[in-house]
Amino acid sequence: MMNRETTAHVADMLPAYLNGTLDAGLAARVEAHLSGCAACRTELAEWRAIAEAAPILYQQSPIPDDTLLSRVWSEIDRAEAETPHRRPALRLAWLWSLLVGQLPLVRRGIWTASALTMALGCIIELLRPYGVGKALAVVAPVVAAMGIAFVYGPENDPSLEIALATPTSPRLVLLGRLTLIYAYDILLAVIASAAITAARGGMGLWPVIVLWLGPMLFLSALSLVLSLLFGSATGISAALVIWAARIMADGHWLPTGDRNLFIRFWGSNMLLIPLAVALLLAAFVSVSWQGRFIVGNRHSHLPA
Amino acid sequence: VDSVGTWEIGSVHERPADAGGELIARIASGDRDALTELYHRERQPLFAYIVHLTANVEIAEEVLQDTFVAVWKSAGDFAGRSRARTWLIGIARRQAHNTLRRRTLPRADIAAAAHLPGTLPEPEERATTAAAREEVVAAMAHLSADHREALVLAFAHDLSYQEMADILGIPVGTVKSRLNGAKRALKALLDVQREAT
Repeated sequence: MMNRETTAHVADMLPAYLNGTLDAGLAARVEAHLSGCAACRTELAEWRAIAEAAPILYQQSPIPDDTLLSRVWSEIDRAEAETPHRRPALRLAWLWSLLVGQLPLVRRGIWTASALTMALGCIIELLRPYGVGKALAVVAPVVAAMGIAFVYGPENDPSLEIALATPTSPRLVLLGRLTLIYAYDILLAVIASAAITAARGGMGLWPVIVLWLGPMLFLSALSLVLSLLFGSATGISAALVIWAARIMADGHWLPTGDRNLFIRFWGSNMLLIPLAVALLLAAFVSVSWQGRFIVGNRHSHLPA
Repeated sequence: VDSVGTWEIGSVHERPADAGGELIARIASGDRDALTELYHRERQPLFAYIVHLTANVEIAEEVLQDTFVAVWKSAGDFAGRSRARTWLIGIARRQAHNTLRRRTLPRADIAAAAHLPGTLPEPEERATTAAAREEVVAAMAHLSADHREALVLAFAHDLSYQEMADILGIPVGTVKSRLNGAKRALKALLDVQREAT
């Protein structure tokens, strides 16, 4: 008498059974089932006919041209002659071309949206509802978190697949884009800070920069990691919720002790900046995990 | 059901051990002989796969060349999480798609392009087992590119469902349904041929 395991049909496992990739336990179950199931034996015979035909189809394929290997070598030699590794000037030129090459691949809307949001922050500053730099300190981290969340991943970049097939490693692609966005956002925020201190007075440029720099780096690094893990929309949403909590903490919804701790955390660049660096490193590790040829279905390759 | 009388458990074949990983490690350290060895070992199945993707022998040669250049450059990134052959097929597939995209060629019916049997064999040849097999081979050449790719990855490269899922960028469940779809399509092609005779 057959038990329940052997009565369930095994059609889905037959191709793996035939090509030897089914693990031993499942293969044994398939065999037990086959011995009592004519329908699955018919299926197996059909699969076997296909399994035998596939290698023949391959044998009938043409053989690559004999000169191909020498063409491979001359291509490699040509590329290595141009390699930037030994000459610093060329290496810099190569890094520059890497950055410029990423420029058109970053979503175009990011640049405009970042500038407009930052301009909004400046307008609020000039209306003077809060202390100097307060509005900017709220806006700058949001700008960076939004920009960074859209920096990487197939949903943001149809050409990522190509980029990953080129000799440029996924890490370098990510690094290039992060450099671009951070440089742009920090430049925008510094210009805004300079404009505000000039217009409002009462505070130096550096104290204003200190207000936004740590939160900006930390929040955007957090949004990068979350967007790599769960997609850009999730990354941004989570970052915005966290940031909203930070802003609301200025009100009185948290017990005083917790609130002070929370506010101190967000006010401590000594803590935020190292944490941001750690998160960015985690992002690099996750990108290398995705490997070179695994792009379309990257979620399945993140650690469970 | 009678036709299945030849069913035997013993003929499930073993997968060869994967020595490619060691070769790739040597390539990563700059060993040129290792690349040459890998080329001679893998060029035939890899080239056949690329021909099936590109439907053009000339383009397939270009893609195979690009693939081995890419292997030389990125061998250092091979971490051994996948088998060497899976890694190679992944690179070849991406190079093929890039080249096709650049040239804006569609993935096409390969029967016309490669030296493959473009027509199904005459019915009288079908009497023997070998002829029946040829019939299946010929029908495979007429499958859609997606269906044919699934079948050759499973049975010419002996990849597992998970390896196929990685290469194709689809979930394992879709791999299974694509294989079943390919089998159904193949049966339909053979039925059409048989009814016509």
